[in-house]
Amino acid sequence: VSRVYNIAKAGFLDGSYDLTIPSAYEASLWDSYTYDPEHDTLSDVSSAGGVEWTAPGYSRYTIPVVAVDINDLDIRADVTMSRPEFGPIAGGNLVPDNCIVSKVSDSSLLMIVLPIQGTYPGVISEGSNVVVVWGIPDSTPTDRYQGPAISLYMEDFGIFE
Amino acid sequence: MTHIYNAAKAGMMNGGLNIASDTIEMSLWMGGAGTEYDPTDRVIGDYAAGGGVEGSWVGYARQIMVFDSITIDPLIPQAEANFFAPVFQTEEGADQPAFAILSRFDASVAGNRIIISHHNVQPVPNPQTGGTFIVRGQNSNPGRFIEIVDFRTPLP
Repeated sequence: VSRVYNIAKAGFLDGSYDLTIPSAYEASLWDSYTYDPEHDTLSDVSSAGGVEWTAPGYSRYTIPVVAVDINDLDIRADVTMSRPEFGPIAGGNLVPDNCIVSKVSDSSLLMIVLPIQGTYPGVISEGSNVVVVWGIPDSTPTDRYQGPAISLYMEDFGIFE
Repeated sequence: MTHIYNAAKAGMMNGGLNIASDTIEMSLWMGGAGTEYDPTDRVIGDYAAGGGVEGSWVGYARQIMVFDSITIDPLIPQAEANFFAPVFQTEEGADQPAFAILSRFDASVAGNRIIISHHNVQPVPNPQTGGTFIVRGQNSNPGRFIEIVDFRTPLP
């Protein structure tokens, strides 16, 4: 499941979070962190006890392209991102629990995937890549972990009166 | 209750719609058959073509929304777009509108792109008394018309 931070919700209203800008967002892996929707930047994640992964071979994944599409059939707008891929990672490392997407420019937070699901979690075999699965699987099992998939979608807003 | 049109949902995430700085106006529409929210509408003309009937009483005019602020309510949690409540003029005995629609002019489509449909409009005071009235937003907040509570995210 993914959760969107409050700062991004507000950013969608004032135009400060344009998801379609190429390479403007990056994914990173974190341990020892409990999601708090009020956190604004990766510094807040660190301050709350979050520890970014340090496994040899790991570096943040810059998301090259994000597509935003109107989906009239399901009454929503879909966001499709490349699946983050990290590695190759040294063997024996345990994959962290959380994948966080943030702005490259100032580390403002967008969303978190918790817990990570993908080609791992678990202990990594030597030289393997960690691929995070966003959401809706591709149509066939063989390409479930390949290519982009819908990572987020905005349905009707939860509005109360 | 309020609905967001599908195109506006995408516009909020792709930079095509900026609630804080775009010129947004409110129009009022009467109830009746064919006036329900259709999430696939793109412009005001789509809604009218589907059966929507805009207010036509003496003194009625669409009102420009004056943006106030974007706030975050951490308890829900949600982000909120707040406007100053638009003031409409009416005449005594006019029918009460049922829907308020927020839209913005877009030269690329030579029309008003549709953003939200605000149902069960509760004018204050009742327009049948004549004079002026406002349209209240969410939870009795006069100018709060958009709330982003959370996004649905698919399961892997």
